[in-house]
Amino acid sequence: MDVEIKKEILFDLAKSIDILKIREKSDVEQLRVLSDHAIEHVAVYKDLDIISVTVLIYSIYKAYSCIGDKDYATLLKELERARSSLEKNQFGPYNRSIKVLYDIVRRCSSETKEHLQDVMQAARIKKGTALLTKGLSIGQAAGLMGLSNWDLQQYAAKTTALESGPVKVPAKSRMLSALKIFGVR
Amino acid sequence: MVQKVTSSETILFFDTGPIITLVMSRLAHLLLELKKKMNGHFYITPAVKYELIDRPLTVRRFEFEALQVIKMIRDGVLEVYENVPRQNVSELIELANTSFRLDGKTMDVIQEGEMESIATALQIGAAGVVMDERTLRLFIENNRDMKALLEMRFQKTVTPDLKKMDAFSSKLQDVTIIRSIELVGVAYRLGLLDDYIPDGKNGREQLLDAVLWNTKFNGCAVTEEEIQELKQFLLKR
Repeated sequence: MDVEIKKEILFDLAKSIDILKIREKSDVEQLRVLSDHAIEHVAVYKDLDIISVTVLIYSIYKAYSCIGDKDYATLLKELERARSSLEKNQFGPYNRSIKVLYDIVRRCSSETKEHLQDVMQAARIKKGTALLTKGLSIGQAAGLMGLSNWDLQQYAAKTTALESGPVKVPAKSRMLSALKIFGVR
Repeated sequence: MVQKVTSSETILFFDTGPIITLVMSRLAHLLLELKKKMNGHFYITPAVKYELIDRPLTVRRFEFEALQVIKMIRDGVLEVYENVPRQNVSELIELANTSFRLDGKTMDVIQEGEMESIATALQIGAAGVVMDERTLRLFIENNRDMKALLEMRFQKTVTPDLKKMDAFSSKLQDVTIIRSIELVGVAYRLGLLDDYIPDGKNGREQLLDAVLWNTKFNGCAVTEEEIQELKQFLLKR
């Protein structure tokens, strides 16, 4: 694992533990902010481990209210364990902890489906849209998040993520080009 | 062997985005009439076909949309162009994705599949490429602003490789890019949407407003100002 990526994941895990240590509803918004911070690293590094942690953090944020006390305790324990394993470069135990964390969210997600999507799918779409706002193309962003272009375009079109940047070719010129191609005056 | 088209054939290549936009906007039927009018070929590349059909066939949410695209191919509205110039695609991708560095890392801003349509269109001398995607369009048409855009979005200094940026843009400068919204504009001009004109003296304007915004809300990257400009232009006869 790249040193910078490891540093970023350790930061994200430590911050998540810090936010979730005491279960207070007011803290949960900080998880969303943290996942926004992490998405910048996804855009730069395009690394599966960092994508996985970013989607996980956002999924925990969305699933927070339905995670039962027992699962919540396990969630904290596994976040600690993931951090500790990664610090020691023990990637097997690290990956197992991430899997347990996803299982907790998945269990909760099956109980509270959001708009007919599971929480993790929604998280991937949301974070994919965040990548669009960073300047990545739809194909890049969808590919990184394991989404189809249909999923991402349908959602992103309803946000400001696809807003054009600076316009160099005036719309009228482009329209004239189109009319010319079709032989329309 | 890739061949240039003869002068009598008009060819348009479609990226994934505009087809998604038109299907989602319930305007895909316009393509048949537009193709008849153009009297040429509407091509998609294998990577675009994969994103439009093969992948969504595995996702229940978009399975029917994929079937609609299959029908368009079966009806001959869209054709799959297999002879993609792989070497050119790889070279263009290499140029695009090594043009910007952030935190010492190169930024992959474009995906290979997205480059297929444009590289193939260029290779065979197509009349244009239909592309709703903003990033690649901006990179081709306005690469200096692309740097500013990335910096604004990351709030960090982006180091550009000006030589690569310009090499990329100059290779693609002859490609005409239009969007799904312009296709809708052509359809409007051809009267293909006249059945939808509501009663009242501003019927045409209302139709145009509705159909242009519909395109935007289904994925075409277009600004509000551009929609206004298109409306004014199209309403003038």
